[in-house]
Amino acid sequence: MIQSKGVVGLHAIKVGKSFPGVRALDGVDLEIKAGEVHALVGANGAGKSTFAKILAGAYESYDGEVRIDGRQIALISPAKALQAGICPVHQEVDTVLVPHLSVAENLLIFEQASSKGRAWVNWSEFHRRARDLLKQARIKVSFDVATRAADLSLAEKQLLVVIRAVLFGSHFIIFDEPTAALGLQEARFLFETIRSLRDRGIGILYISHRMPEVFDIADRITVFRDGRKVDTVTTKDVTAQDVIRLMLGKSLDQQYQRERSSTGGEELLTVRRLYKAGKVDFVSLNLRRGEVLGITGLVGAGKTELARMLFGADTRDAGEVWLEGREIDVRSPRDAVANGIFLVPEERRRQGLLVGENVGFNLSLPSIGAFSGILGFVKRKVEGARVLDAIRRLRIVCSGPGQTVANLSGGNQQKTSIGKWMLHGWVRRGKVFIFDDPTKGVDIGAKAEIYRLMEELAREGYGVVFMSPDIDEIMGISDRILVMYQHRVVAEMNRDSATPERILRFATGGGEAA
Amino acid sequence: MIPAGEGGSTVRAEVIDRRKRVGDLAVRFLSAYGVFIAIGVLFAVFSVLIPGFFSMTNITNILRAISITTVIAIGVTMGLCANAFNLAVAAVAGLASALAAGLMVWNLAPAPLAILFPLIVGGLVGSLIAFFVIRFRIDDLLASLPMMFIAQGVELTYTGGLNIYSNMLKPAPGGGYITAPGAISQSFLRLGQGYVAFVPTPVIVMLAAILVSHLFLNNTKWGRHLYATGGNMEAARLAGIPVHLYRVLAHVLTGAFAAMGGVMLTARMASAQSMAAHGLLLDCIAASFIGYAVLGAGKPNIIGTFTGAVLMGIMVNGLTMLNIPYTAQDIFKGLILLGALGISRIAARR
Repeated sequence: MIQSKGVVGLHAIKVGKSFPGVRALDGVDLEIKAGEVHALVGANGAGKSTFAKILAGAYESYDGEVRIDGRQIALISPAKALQAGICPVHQEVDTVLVPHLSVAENLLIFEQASSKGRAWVNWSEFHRRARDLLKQARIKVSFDVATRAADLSLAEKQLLVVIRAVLFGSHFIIFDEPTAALGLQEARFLFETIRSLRDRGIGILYISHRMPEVFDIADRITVFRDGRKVDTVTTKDVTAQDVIRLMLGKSLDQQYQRERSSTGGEELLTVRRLYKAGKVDFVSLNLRRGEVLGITGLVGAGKTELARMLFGADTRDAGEVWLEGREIDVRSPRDAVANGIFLVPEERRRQGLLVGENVGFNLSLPSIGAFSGILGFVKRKVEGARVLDAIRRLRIVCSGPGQTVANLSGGNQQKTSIGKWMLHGWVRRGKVFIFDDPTKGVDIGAKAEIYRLMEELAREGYGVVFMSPDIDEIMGISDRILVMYQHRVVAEMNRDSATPERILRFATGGGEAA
Repeated sequence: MIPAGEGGSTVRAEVIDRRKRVGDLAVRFLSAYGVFIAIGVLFAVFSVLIPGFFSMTNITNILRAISITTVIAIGVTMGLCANAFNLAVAAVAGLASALAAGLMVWNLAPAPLAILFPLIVGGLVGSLIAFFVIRFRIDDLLASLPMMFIAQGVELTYTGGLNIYSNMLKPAPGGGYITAPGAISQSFLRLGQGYVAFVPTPVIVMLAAILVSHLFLNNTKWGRHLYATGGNMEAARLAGIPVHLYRVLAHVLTGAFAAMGGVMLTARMASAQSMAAHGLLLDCIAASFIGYAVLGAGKPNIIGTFTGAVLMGIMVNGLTMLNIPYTAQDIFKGLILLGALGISRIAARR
């Protein structure tokens, strides 16, 4: 019988963490009692995951201290964290399981690694022992110990990791967005498991930004904002509204506000019931010329999937896309570009740029065909002039077109990623500009310039789709706002009726004001 | 976000900074000129040690010796631009060599056909590899391995393991011998043995291949797209480039240039020697990879590949003249490749 005895609680005291240029977490106090489910919530970038990683021993150093029952422990490696009784269940559980080994082998992996001279494996005995262990863990499972880990569903894999944690004698288990990729049924089953863990005295840190499930499962809720702790509240004393207010904090910074708002342009893009199983759930939208359409939602709400589908980077199962009153069939990014639809992808270094090449190469990449004449020879002069134009107009800070992109700052990299489409729009008319979280990881100055660029593009007659999880910037720039939650568009607001509270309520799965 | 606290000792940081800058400079210098320095040193040492090394004849010899390697290596390099690493090049060259000879000797084909047909076969082998790579998502290198065996097997089946030469004899099924009706034509042989002015024809062919492929990679949109495909396939695709098309192109070019090398080999030896091309594999690949370290390119490039081939050519020539057995020469090739890879790796990480 496995029971967490004797442990009272985990105390994080003034815990902080800096990364180059950013203080991700600053002086956070938090207590996880044995036998409670403690939810940790906060907007994107609030520091939740950084905190979870510190507890899991993912960093070699951090500020402050962590005590378990008053005894300070140094969580400087995953092994140290495990020894201290802290086990994380990551979003990507695959990284801690060996896919081609069986459930039994994955369960007994620690033992095998330290096996004392037992080279010969008796499989039937091995499986019997694994089944015994499963029984001991007292967690309901539907799979057999001989199943390969790779053949388990995501929920089952999570369960396997939890079971391993329990068997290992963990006192604290951290769930980081565990339901992000689970179906309703699977999520319910997971909650059952979590409750059973709590009832046997295990302390649980539950990270999520979905209000309904937080209120369903948590005993207490701690709110982070901008790397600091705002408050810890007892769930039954508060409402979802209260928590959302804590997450948002002070009213908005007004500096990004756009002066004008024109929605008078003609209809440009119409999307009808776009669908792809598990990615985009019957999304319809329309976009006018000269309009900035903001699409927000929390991480994992389906914004990126929608953007990629509109651009033809991923296939769709159903739905129609109409451009300027004509149905278009976009099956690849190439088709999209031919139709004047451009995407600035989310991961600029992986998807938006060739970081090993120089600025000029990147800027002219989509347009190089237009700069080349007979036998495909590139007209260097034409290309060079356009590239210089783009560098000037986007104010890309670089030593020249010959500078390698890898050596630029994040903001200038992003401007290069945007610039290649802007330049392409000069040689072949562009119509729709999709930005997928363009300000991620860029400094304030570059952010402002990216906003300015979006406005300029809208003024030039582009329809601009601006996707971001950052409600402030969405509100500052957009003429109209769509909110996504679980791969669906759940609300549409125009500029005047949108408030951060309303947006966040929809984005966290709540309905119209309660 | 809260800005990070500035702190720590700036004095120490400066010392580390300076040390880093000196190291940086050294790395940059080596990554730019390392291969040239190696060539210069080898050349100087051999010139002193070996009478007759530094002569027009010997330099011409070296160039002729590396011409076939270079042509095949150019194909490898163009493939590598799009990450299409191909280990079947030597086998394709062997097959092409046998086909070129066989067509003339057994089928009485005219020289142009004996050149063109093997090139087409080489391109086809490449496109087959590309098909497996794209359709079944097999690694380029892994997909080229089975093709290496197949090309080799087809060559040996076609030749029956025999060398093919003018009016050759072949065992007849019923006993006795059959004499081949054709010969390897004089105009074909000029490709391997002739001269244009004082320059051997294969060297002219090599220089032409260098010029064309260099212009293709650096001055045309196709070259840009090939590099983009190899540099970051996802980003290239999201820039609207039909990346699969360029992967096919890369493999076809690799195959065709390998075949060209094979044809040149036949012209050089006036026969197709069974398995003669297979020894070229490692040299061609080494030349391409040494090329990464030339002028700090850090990526496949034609000038670098040629430089790599020259480096190895000088070394082999010098070592041979010093009577160092051919069996030991591979050790030196290995060391040179190791050094080049190290330099380009460090340069890339900087």
